[in-house]
Amino acid sequence: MLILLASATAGAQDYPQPRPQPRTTDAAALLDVARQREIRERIELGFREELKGDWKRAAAEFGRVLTLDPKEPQGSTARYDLGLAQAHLGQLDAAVASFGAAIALDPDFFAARVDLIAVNLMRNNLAAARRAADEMLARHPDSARGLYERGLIALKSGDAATALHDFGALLQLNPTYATARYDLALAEMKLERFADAERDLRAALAVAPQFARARFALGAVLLRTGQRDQARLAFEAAAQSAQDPSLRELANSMRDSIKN
Amino acid sequence: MPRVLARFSIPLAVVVLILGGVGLARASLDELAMAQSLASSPAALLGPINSLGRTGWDCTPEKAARAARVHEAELPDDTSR
Repeated sequence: MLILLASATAGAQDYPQPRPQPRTTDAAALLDVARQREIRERIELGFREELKGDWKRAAAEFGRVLTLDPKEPQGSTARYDLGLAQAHLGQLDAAVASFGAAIALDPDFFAARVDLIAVNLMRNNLAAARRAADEMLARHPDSARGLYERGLIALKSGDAATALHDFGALLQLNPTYATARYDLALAEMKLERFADAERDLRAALAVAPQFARARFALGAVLLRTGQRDQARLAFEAAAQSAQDPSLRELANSMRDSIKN
Repeated sequence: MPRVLARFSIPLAVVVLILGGVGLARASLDELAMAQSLASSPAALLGPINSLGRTGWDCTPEKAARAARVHEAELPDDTSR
């Protein structure tokens, strides 16, 4: 019985309890209470608009919150939510500034760090995305998001060694994540480690047989290593499983171009 | 000897060009296939956070950002592409 009571009390502690408003007649104190209330209300309103996908109204709410000079954690939260709305509205430079401001207030705000990387990728600013990913992983090296995003940035910017490291680290904890296994193989292809790439692509396909991009990449590796008949079969399989018409067309063209 | 070389030089050049062309075509095909093996999609933006902030509650975006496991991190699944 005592254990039950103790566990019920511990569970209740997980939720914030309503507190009575402090009673005062001091004008400045009353103004502050009203301001704090408006900040909370507007963040909740903006939060609900974002859940509905109304980014414009959400941005207006969070913009108003910031004029009220919110304390923490509302200050970093409002900047994060404003950044999210700006990103969805295509205001990418403004979103970068908002996420950066949220991180400046709360350096351990990893959701803001992750979205800062994502927005820099959307801007195709690989150098800024890489800086943000490096800072994120320096603070939290096990973050799957951090490893995945930095691996992608490294692949796109020609840093195959970092991509190899990051996708390898991600797969240590998530060995059946076929998407990362495919990206690891791409890094191996860039490093001309074709036997490793072939092994990893076959491993990805063992988990996800309909993974057309992996079948196409396997065709590329087999072609590169002189296994032309096998490459033709891989491109044929890629064409059959591709949902994307342009990939299907490309795979068919590759299959037809291979001559003995 | 020069006359013999002159006699065979054109067919020789044609053979060299054909073999070179085939080699070039093969190399181009390899390179094309490698170049068209594109990296997977970037992860989507995380969701909004309410007035309690990232700490003190079950904040899904913050948990996803910190997660070491893929299914908690909301990473993309490109295997249907």
